[in-house]
Amino acid sequence: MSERELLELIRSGDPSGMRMFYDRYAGYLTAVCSRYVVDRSAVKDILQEAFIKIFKGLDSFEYRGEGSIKAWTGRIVVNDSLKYLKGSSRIEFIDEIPDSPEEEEEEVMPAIPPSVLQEMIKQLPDGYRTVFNLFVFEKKPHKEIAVLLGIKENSSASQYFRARALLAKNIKDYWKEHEQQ
Amino acid sequence: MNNSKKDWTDQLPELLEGYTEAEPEGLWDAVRSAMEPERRRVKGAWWFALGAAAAAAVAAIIFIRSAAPSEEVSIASGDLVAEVVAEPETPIIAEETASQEQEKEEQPSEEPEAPIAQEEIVSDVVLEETAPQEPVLEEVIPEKKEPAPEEKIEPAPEKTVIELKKSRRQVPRIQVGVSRTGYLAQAAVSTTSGVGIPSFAVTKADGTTAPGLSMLSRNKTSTTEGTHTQSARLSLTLRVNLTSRWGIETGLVSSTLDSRFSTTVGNSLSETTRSIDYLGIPVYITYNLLEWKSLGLYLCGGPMYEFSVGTSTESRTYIGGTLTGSDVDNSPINDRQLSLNAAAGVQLKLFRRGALFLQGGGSYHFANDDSPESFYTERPFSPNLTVGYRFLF
Repeated sequence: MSERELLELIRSGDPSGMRMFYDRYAGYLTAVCSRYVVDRSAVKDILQEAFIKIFKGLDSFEYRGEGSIKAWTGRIVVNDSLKYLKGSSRIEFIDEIPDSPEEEEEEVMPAIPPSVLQEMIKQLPDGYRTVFNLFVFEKKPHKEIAVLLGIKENSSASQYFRARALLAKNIKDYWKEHEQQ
Repeated sequence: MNNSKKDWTDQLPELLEGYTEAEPEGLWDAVRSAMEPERRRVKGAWWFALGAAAAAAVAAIIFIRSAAPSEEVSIASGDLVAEVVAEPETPIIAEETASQEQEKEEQPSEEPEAPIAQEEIVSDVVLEETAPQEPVLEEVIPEKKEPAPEEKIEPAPEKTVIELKKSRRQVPRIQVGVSRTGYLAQAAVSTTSGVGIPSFAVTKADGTTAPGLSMLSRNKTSTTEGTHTQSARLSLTLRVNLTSRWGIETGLVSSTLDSRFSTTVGNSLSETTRSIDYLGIPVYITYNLLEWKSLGLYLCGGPMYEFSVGTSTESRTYIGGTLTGSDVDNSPINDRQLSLNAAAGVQLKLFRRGALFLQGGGSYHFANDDSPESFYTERPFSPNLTVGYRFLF
């Protein structure tokens, strides 16, 4: 079933439409939310609120092609995740510099399972992870990230640099370990 | 370095595009059953603070008025003042003494009147049998004694002094003011644009340049423009004049910083408007330059500490000119600001207990590394004009 058909099914009032919609996007949205928020119980609360917003907003949603609903729901979850992080002051922007010496970064990322990559991103410190997610996955410039998080633009850039370096190191370590195996 | 090579981080969204995780247990049941309305956010802690400050100011005024010392009356005219320094008690007492003596002197005349009345009555009865009595008045009313010259009360020249002194200004001790400050500076605008990673991202926090970053590029052109303004500031102040010239002033100051960010990447546009409410506590020193009739000139200045009490961020995304998403976020941004303020003002007393004032000055906000980009960071110095009303006590 296409997104448009699913949308029309929900708008028609079919009780099964909401469940189908949930089954289709819950896994994806859980992954998006988990990339920002580590606490599993908080993830449930955030997703609950997000789905309520989504279902309430479907009537007025303007469909723009396949994938537009997925992108829209993803933005809602990201915004709610940021609200949770900012509201509870859980974002700590640390200034620790990775212990490893500077290395040339690979331009092509070695093969790595998505689940492992997701876990590596989750393990980043809060500030690193939030800025990294916004810059890489939401493709927001540092100025906009600074506005969203209430930090300076330079802080956003430095947090992204540190997150990137740390993640690159972890990916390399994983690759070396599995290459030997 | 070849900037056309793809950055490895660009592969991450593609790699995780289809990645899913098991949703939390019970999520669907919670969503289905809990379509609860959004909770209201009770904003207004800062209104409560304003109200508490106003109540404290009123209580202080009432307390001080109940123990207010006697006022010195002076007629001020420029620098020279004709001041009547009187010792009213001495002449008053003297007058009272004189009046008391007069009363005493008059009192004896009262007593005989009673017997006069009786004698007259008696005389009416025995007129035929007795000889006419001597006029009673001559016997009863003694001669009025004139006060002795030494008892005569004359105002001693040395007790009533008209002196020419330097002005002793009539300065109300307590002044409670309400005012509105408008800012004369134009909105601050910041712009960031370019291809690839902006230059500031290449320099690490320790000041060295990060090797390897220069070879990377996102091959995207983005332009972000920020416009920052400050809304009119409202103030409730309490000024205490310690002397006729010097005083201190404090109170509560409310202001709002508005920022608008517009980011263009390709055919997509992202607009974010953010408002941050601040509550400030000024501590000013005031100096009364001149008081002439109803007009007064003064200077004031000092630091002010502001802290954010509320934030509202609204984001809108447009693709090809069509609104694709919007969001409102009221998560707080914790910010602290310290500023130095100075102003000169003129105050016109309209009523016995009220005066209008007009004040011009400037503020300088000190840099704070943790502060978000705003009017304070982009335009640290800004001139302002304040108009208000003061209640005089």
